[in-house]
Amino acid sequence: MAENANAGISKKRHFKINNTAILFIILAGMFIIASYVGRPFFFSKLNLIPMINNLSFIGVVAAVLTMVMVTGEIDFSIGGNIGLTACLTALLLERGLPGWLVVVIVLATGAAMGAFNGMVVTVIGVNSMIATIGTMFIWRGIGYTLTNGESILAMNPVIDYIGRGFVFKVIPFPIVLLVVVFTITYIVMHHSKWGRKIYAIGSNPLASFLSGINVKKVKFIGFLICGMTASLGGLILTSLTAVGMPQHGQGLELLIISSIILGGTVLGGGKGTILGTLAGVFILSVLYNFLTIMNIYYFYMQIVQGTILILIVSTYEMKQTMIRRRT
Amino acid sequence: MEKVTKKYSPVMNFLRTPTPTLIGIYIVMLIFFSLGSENFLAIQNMKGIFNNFAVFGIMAAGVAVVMVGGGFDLSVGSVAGLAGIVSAVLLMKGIELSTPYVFVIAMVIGCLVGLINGLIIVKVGINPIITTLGTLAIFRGICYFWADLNPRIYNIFVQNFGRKYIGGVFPVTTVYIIVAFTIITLIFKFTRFGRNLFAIGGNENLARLVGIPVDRTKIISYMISGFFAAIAGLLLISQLGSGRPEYGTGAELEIITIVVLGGVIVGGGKGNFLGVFIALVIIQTISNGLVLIDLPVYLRMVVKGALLVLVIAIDAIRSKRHLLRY
Amino acid sequence: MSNSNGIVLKMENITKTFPGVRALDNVSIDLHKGEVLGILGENGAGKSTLIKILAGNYIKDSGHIYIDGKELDIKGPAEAMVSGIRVIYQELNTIDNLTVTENIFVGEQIVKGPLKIVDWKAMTEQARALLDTLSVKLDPDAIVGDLSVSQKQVVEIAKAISKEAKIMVMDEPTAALSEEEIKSLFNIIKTLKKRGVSIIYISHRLKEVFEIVDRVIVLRDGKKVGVQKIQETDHGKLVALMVGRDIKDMYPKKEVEIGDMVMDVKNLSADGIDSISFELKKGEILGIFGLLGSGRTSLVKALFGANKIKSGQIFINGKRAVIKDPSTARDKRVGLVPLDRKAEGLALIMGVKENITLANIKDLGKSFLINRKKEKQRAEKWVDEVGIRTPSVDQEVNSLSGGNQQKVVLAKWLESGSQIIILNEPTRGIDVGAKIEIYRLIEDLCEKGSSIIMISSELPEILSIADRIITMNKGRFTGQYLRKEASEEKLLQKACL
Repeated sequence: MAENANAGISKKRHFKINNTAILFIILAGMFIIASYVGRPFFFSKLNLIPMINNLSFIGVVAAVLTMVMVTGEIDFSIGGNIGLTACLTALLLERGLPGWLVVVIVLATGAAMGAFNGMVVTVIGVNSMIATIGTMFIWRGIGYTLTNGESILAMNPVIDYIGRGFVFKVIPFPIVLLVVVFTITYIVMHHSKWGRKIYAIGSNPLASFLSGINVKKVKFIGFLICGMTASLGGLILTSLTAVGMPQHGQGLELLIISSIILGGTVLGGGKGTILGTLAGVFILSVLYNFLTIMNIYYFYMQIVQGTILILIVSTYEMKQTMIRRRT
Repeated sequence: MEKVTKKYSPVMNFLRTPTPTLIGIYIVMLIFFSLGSENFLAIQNMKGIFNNFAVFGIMAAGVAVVMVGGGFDLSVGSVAGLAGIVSAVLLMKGIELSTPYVFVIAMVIGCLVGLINGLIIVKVGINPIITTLGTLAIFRGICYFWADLNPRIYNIFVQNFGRKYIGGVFPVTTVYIIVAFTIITLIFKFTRFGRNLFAIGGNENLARLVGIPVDRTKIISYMISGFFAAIAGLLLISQLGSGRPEYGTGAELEIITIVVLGGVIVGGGKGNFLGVFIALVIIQTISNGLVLIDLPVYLRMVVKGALLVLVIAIDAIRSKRHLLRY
Repeated sequence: MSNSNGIVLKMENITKTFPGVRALDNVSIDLHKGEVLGILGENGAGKSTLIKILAGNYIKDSGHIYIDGKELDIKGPAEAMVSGIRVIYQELNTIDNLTVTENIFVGEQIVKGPLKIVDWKAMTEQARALLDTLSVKLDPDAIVGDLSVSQKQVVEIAKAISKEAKIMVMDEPTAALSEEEIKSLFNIIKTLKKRGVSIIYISHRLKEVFEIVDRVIVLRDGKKVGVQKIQETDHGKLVALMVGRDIKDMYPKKEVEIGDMVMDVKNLSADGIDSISFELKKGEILGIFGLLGSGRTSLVKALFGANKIKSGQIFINGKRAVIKDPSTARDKRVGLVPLDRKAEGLALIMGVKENITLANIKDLGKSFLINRKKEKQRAEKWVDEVGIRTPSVDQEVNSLSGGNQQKVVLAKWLESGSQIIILNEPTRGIDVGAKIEIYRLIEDLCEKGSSIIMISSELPEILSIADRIITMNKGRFTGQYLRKEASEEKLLQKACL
């Protein structure tokens, strides 16, 4: 019996490695198709650089949101957070504050937004899906109120560098940020004691609590960092577009959460990898970029996004159900 | 065996629900607002409240049905928009389908999208919030197929449907609301379907054990929600005089606030429709109050978001989730 | 016996396998009309699985079920109900938000008229009548969430007898009942019998079995090991069948020298318990016996910091220990093997090694990083010492058998250095072989100087393993015995006080 069980497991493990690998193969395939169908534009500098910049700012947020989702929670308010961050950045610059100070203030505000989410979820015990839908509206509403719904120019050497600067004159700074954030989250999630706690909580919060893990603290800090990173994403987006407007990041939660789930993170927590998220972000970014090149009407993109979210979740959910049925 | 010291009767059980508190809150609000703003109780203003509240109320009634069964439906705003714009297109000059057909088609659309939601949630087993967040985007996107047609409503019956005042004072929409809530209350109190839905929301495993057709009941609940959303869509095109793809956008925020404030607990099994009705009046009065005190449009969004967070926090405390230590 | 009136139910060669364990192996039973058939077996013998298959809750892997001679393919609960099978489950199955009446009629509300309108008046009246026959004072309009555990169990019984049943299955129906309530339940069983209803009665309280059952089937490790008429058997024979070996081999009690006091609890009050005082000595196994709802699990939670303590003090090794959460309990070297290992003890989708180090993550490396090599070595050491049968320490615990899972939970606390280990029903749902190993482990731990608090509802177990037994009811201690003074009767009587 034990041997049998073992056979099942090793097969599963095998499968798990393949999962992320499959995602990267899909990605490679997509590149080939996109470069062929979308030629010559797809591989031109004019397309690739904005695409990679976009992907960087989405990836930064997705990596940290993965940490929250592995604990079994979720944060829908990231898009609203990005909108508010963009407005705040522009307004603070307008007041003549130095760039570095704006960055500090904005990141602190982001952390505060995350902390608020974390408080509501851990202290009061509210379902994070609903709570963060509420805060999503709050953040974005504050953004609209501050700017009165208008777009404000955001130009400043420091801010410009975040989204459009180059390191060693060749590597776009957003890519550097992406690599740094992914490296850190990778180490935290897969090699640190903190990461072990995150997975344990996602796998079974009650057993984790009864093993002496401070579940609420780990979740709270996850939300806090997620809020701060969303603001970092907001800074990149503001810099890329050189304006702060409250519409920034609208609907982004759908794309980011789809990418994370595509990467293998399970709603409800306990499972998910940073590399998987990276692959998920790449695939969806390339797909959307491709659809944009193909001139798909903005509102129809909603249909695509919604369908992709449901398809992805369905696929993983059906796999889970099948495993459950087998046992 | 320990004695249960509380007194029980259907009346006492009702008094222990949040509904009496809500009624109290509403009375306090009425007094407060009437003192604060002279035109608050003016007829015109009341009309304003009632017309708005028909659209939200009918959607809230449907969402309450779903939530009692432990589900969730964020897509109602999009469904209303979809049913509305399709009906408006069908009523356009050049097509001019006769009104009963249009109504039937709108309702069928509502039931159909409810069926889709229900099938995905129940049969595939996806989290209802994620599912309906996805279908919310899909249905809204579909609305834009007809965005360029900009259909206006010329049909007199449809114009009157959501705008007529009985005797010049009493809005006909109020009748719909009362009828909708009465029917739903009766269904929930006196049919097996309704009682089964409470059982499912309370303890789904047990419901399966005792042989309740859990999947079917839940799917029907999503269809009811879609059906009501479609009627709300018809009211919207009637009141606004045209079909636009963005109708009903963001309604989900207010609807969920209403339903949860009304005492339907997240996760299901508990809730009564009188409570939802009063919550509807309260939230609509607040929304109206925000307009009256001239709160900037954008700030209203903040207030609405904050209200949802507040209400959902009350729900968590009511279900004693704040006592959980993990 | 008047049970030659024909066979109502025949279950033939039923087999059911779960990952890691064969829960039922070719089990056949038959049930006569108007008969009370007892099914006996220790925890994990397969009793619950068998009735869950009959109730359509699990699908059998193979075998046949015949009702009144006709084969019935039970695919779900609805089919079982239509065939007149009613079950009172061991785990309470009530809907807490609804009233007693609604719980009794859940899924089968009384309706009237062509519109099938739910007839509340009739339901309330019938509910009241049912509760009267059970001679309990319970308001049909009461909200079930407000009731005590034993009242909920009464509601369950009322639910089962509210409909015409052909076969009534009762899985540990008396787990939460006082002697008075048991008496009225037995009267009901006798009435049902007269009406021709056949009853399957599952219990591991032998005293009850001899009182009410006509014939008894004994299961052990998923196999049927005996069928006996109740008049032709006795206590000893049944125990021997259930245990399958000499009682001394089953409970390998070592006499360990009991040392100084390690834990002293004074007037502890918390949610569900009231001024509890006891002491625990080095090397001692303290047994705590109580019915379902007696506060035994509340006590465990309070001791371990999972529930807040309202008043009272805990001293560990003579020093005041303020245990405000499980992490402080762990730091005071207290460990908990919880009641429901899957829900409370294990991160099921994680590996054996991750679970073993779960309560001791801080020792996984010097910096903030995990030293995987060290983790593996430590996990392997415990797998070896505790005897966890697993292909590797990377194996998901989900796929281990119940006994091995329980050993993983135990290993977790050994890894974190626990000196006082609280075990809540440690042998629930595991097979006999693994049980003996767990007892051995407990004994070894005591020999090495640990102390054990063991909560158990299994009388033979607690009577053989514990050095001292405390009985509990309504959140209070009601009696205390040394092992040699204690007996089943005494414990049961005190537990109902």
